[in-house]
Amino acid sequence: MDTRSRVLVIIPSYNEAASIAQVIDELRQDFAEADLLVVDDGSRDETASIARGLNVTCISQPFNMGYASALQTGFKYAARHGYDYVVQFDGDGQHIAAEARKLYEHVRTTQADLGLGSRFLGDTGYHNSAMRSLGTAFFRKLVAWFGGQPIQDPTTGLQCLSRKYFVIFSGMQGFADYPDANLLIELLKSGAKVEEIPARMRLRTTGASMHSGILKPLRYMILMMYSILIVLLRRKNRFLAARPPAPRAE
Amino acid sequence: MMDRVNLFYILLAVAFAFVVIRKTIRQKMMEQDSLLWLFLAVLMLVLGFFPRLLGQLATLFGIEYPPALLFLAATLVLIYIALQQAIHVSQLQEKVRELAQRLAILETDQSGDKRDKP
Repeated sequence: MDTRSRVLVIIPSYNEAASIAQVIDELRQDFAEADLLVVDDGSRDETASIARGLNVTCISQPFNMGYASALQTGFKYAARHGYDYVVQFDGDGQHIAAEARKLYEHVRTTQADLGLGSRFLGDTGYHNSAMRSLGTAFFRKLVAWFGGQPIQDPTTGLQCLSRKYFVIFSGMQGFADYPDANLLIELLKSGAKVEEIPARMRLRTTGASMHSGILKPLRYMILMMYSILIVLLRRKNRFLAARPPAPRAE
Repeated sequence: MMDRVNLFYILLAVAFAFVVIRKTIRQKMMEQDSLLWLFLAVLMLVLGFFPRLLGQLATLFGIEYPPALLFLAATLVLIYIALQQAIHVSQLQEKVRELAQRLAILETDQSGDKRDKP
């Protein structure tokens, strides 16, 4: 085995048959040093067979468990297989492979724990609906306030994590429910080094957003505020109290 | 206007909320479920602070004896939560069955027990 750091791109996918092949092709071309892992979250379409047909490792969850759960499955896989970094990358074609690679390089050279590909730093050509901008602005404030570091895009899906942190995430209770601003705040409070760099993104071409409608976002907002409150009330930080990383199994 | 009984309501609600939040902090309960129970504590708190609300609501629904509304509301909320739990249990059962079947097949495949294969 060579001594270079190893990076795994985790692609959580739910019914992404229309875009997954292109996503894989692009990653292979523009982020060639990365290993790829598709986590199929109980898709009802051809997502898994397309990925396997392209010779990509694909974990199929037996039923739909949600985006975060698929992500955590990826973290567990990466922890077991001794990766040094993971990059989370959407299966719907929104993310750009070259930008993911840039983010990974940045995290590696700065020795950061978490890298965020930001839609709102610099001119990334990303436009949000008014409703979502409001929500983002709100969480931005909360993260800056309680986490102590201004983060422009706390809810970006394009993220890069160092081994120490994805191993903790991989065994974290409750990660699969609502990992968002609440976890980012807890992570910042633990003294993690978080780097945010601009990342261009495409407008989504297929599928629907996770956060659409009116009542759902409202419910989400209340839940997130409550989750943040719980993080603030919890005396021990779960990133500091975590067990030492699991041994690498090859 | 604050009766002893109202103070009792308020104390009860606060104690209840405290227990729910503590369970969540200790990760015995997920935030989503905890929020539902917390909502119940808020309702109790509102009734504690505005005792006349109960009477007014009872009149609105044509209920002559206001505490009866309280019992009705409490029963309805509990039925709702029980229903939610029942649905949840059914879904979990379904998932456990699916997992057990897959695990059993996986173990058989791995043990190399393929006697019927040519």
